[in-house]
Amino acid sequence: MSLNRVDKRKFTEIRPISIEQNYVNKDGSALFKFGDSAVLCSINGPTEVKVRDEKLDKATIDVLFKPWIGSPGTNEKTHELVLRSTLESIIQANLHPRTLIQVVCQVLMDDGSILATAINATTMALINAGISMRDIAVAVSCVICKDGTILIDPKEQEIEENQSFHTFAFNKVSLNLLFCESFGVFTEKQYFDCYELSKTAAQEVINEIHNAIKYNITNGR
Amino acid sequence: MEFRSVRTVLPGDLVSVEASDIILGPGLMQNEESIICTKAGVLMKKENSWFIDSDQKRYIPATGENVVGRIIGKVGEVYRVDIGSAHQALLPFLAFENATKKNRPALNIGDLVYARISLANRDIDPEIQCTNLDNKADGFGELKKGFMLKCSLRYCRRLFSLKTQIMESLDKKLTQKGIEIEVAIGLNGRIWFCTEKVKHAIVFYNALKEAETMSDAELLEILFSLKTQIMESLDKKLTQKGIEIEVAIGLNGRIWFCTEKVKHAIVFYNALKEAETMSDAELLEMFKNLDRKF
Repeated sequence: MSLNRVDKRKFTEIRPISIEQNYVNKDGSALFKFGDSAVLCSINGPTEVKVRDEKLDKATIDVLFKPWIGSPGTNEKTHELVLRSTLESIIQANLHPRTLIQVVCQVLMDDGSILATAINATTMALINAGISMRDIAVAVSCVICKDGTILIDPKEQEIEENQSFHTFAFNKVSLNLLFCESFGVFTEKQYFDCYELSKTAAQEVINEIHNAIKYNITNGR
Repeated sequence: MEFRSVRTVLPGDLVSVEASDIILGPGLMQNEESIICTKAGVLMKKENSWFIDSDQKRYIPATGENVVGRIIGKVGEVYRVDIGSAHQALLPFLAFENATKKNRPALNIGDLVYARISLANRDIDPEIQCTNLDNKADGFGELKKGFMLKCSLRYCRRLFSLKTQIMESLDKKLTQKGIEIEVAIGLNGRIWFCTEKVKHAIVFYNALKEAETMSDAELLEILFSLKTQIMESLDKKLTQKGIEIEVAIGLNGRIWFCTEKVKHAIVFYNALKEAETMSDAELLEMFKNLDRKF
C-alpha cells in the first residue's frame, strides 16, 4: 500500500476511534470520534410525548441533528431522516408505546464522514440509555478517487477531491446493510467493492465498540 | 444458588441455551428459535434463569417494585405522581393504610412518597399504592422532610439487595453514636434519606454517591466503615463549629439535604457533586477535610 493519503493512512484504514459514554447528564449520551470528526449524541427517553406525536402501539423516535456551525439546513434534515429510519429498524419501539425517544446529535468537529460518525455516536448513546434494541448499527464512509482507488473513512479534504462518496450502515450480528447513501458517478463494480471494504471496516468499528462497552462495564461506568 | 455472570454482551448477541424450559429476565428476548440480547451489560445465569444486568437512568415501571415518587397533582380521587418513568403514576386516595372516603391522606404537591407499584403495563399509566399486600403501611407513605437523590438504576438495585446487610450493621454502629438515619431506596433510581442533623446527611450523601462505581464488597465497606468514620470526624469537627446538616439519600438518584445556613448547603452541594467521580480513598480524604470547607 502506498502512503499517499493526506494523513499517511492506508487506503482501507479507518481513523483512530475514541468513544466516551455518559458525556452529558441525560438518560444516555456518548461522544464518538473518527479522528477529527466528533459527534455528541444524547438520548432522552422513553419519556412523555406530545399528544399529536403519540403512537398507540410504539414509541415515537425523534431525531435532531445540529451542525457544527450555523442552524440546521436541508443537509441536516436529510441526516435526521436517515438516522430515524436506521434507528426504527433496530430499536424495539413496541416495548414503550405512547412514549418519546428523543435523539439529539450535535456535531462537535467536522472533518468528513459526519453521517457515519453520527450513526455510531447514536448507537453508543442508545446502549448507554439502556434502550432495548434488536441489534446495533455501525456505519463507515468511503470515497472513490478519480483514479479508481477506494479510500475508507475519508477526511473532508479527500471528500472534496473525490469522484463519488458513499456511506454504509450495517447491523452487528449479520453485517447486513441497514442503510446506504451515495453521491457522484461510479460503476456497479466500484459500488460493490466499496460495500465489501466498508463491511471489513465496520467489523473494526464493532470491535472498538465492544471493547469500549467492556471497559465501561468492568470499570462500573 | 447465586446468579453468576457469564460474559459481557451487546444488543443483538445470541445466547446459546441448551435447556428447553428457561426463564428470560430483563434484556433478553426470544426471536424464533434463538435468544437474543437487547441491552448491553453482563449476562447473568442461575440454573435455567437468565437476565442481563445492565445500567440505565430512565425508569421503566415493573409490578411490585418500591419507588420514591413526588406528588405533582391531584385529579379527582387520585394523586398524580412522578416516579421518573415516561408516564405519571396514579396513587388513589384509598391506597393508604386506614384511608377511607372521609379519612383522606393529606398530601400536597411536591411531597415525596415511598410506594409500591401495584400495576405496571406498557399500555396504561402505572398505579402505585402506599401499602403492602396486606394493606398495612409497612414503611410506605409520605416521606417527611429528608433529601432525595437520583442515581443510576443499577446502583439502586444493588443497594436494595444489600439493604438489610447495610441497614443492620449501620444501625448498630450509628445507634451507638446516637445518629439516626432513615432511608428509603426506590428502584426507580431515587434514594430518600432523613437524618436529624444536616451534616450527617451530607456525609451519607457523599458516601452513597461515592459508592456508585464500586463492587458490592467495596460498597459495603464504604457504607459501613467510611461512613462511620466520616460521621465521627465530621460530627466532631462540625459540632465544634456549630454546623448541622441533615441528609436524605434516595436510591433513585436524588439526595436531599438541609442546613441551617444557605452557604453550608452550597458547600455541601459542591462537595457532594465533586465526590461523585472519586475513588474510595479520595472520598474518605475529602470527607475528612469537609469541615474545613465550611
